[in-house]
Amino acid sequence: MFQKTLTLVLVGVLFMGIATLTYGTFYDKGFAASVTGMMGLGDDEHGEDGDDD
Amino acid sequence: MTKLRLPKAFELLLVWHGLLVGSYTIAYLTAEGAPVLHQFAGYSVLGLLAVRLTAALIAGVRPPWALPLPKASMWKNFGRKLAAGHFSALLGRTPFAPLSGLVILGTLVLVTLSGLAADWWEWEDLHEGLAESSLAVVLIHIAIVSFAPLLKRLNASRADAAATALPRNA
Repeated sequence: MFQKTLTLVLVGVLFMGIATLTYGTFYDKGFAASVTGMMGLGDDEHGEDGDDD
Repeated sequence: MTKLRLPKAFELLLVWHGLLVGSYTIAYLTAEGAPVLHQFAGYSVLGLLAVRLTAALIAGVRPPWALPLPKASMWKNFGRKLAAGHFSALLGRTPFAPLSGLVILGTLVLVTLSGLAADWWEWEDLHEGLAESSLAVVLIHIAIVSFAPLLKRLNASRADAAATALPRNA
C-alpha cells in the first residue's frame, strides 16, 4: 500500500507539473519562463517594489 | 484480455492524495517567482480540498472518505500496547497517522483561504507565514506515515540476512 501511495504521489506531481506547465505556456509568459518559474528560479515580484537596500 | 473495472473508493482517495501533493508541491515551488502559476496551483489545491470536504460531508463516518479522525479506542489500544512494552505497536497503524492527516487538512484550508484573501487584501504576510509552517506539518506527516513501512522493511531485510547467514555458521 505504501508503494502504491508513493507511486500515485509521484504521478500526481508529474500530472500537476504538466498541467501547470501547459497553463503557463499558453496563458502566462511561455514555456521557458514557466519552467524556470516552476524550478523556483523565476523573476521575484517582490523585487519590483524598488527594494534596493 | 484484461477486464477494465471501476476504481474503488480507496483508489480514488489515493488519486486525490496524489493530485493534492502535486498541486501543493507546484504551489510551493512557484511561490517566489511565478505568481500566475502559483495561483493556478493554489486554486487547484483549493478545489481539491473542496472536493475532499464535500465527499467527507456526504460519506459521514463511512471510510475511506470520512475525515481521518483518530478514534478514542485507537488511542487506548495504542497506549495500552506501549505501556505493556509492546513496541511492535509502532509497526502498525498508529493514531498519529490520521491525526497528522487531519492537521494537514486544517492547515491547508487556512493556507489556501489566506491565499485567496491575499488576492484582494494585503494578506500576503499571513499567507506566507501559514504556507511556511504548512511545510513543517507536511514533513511531520511524511515522517509519521513512512516510519512504520520503513521499519518493517528494515526488520525484514535483517531477518533475511540472518536466515542466509545461518546455514554458513551451522
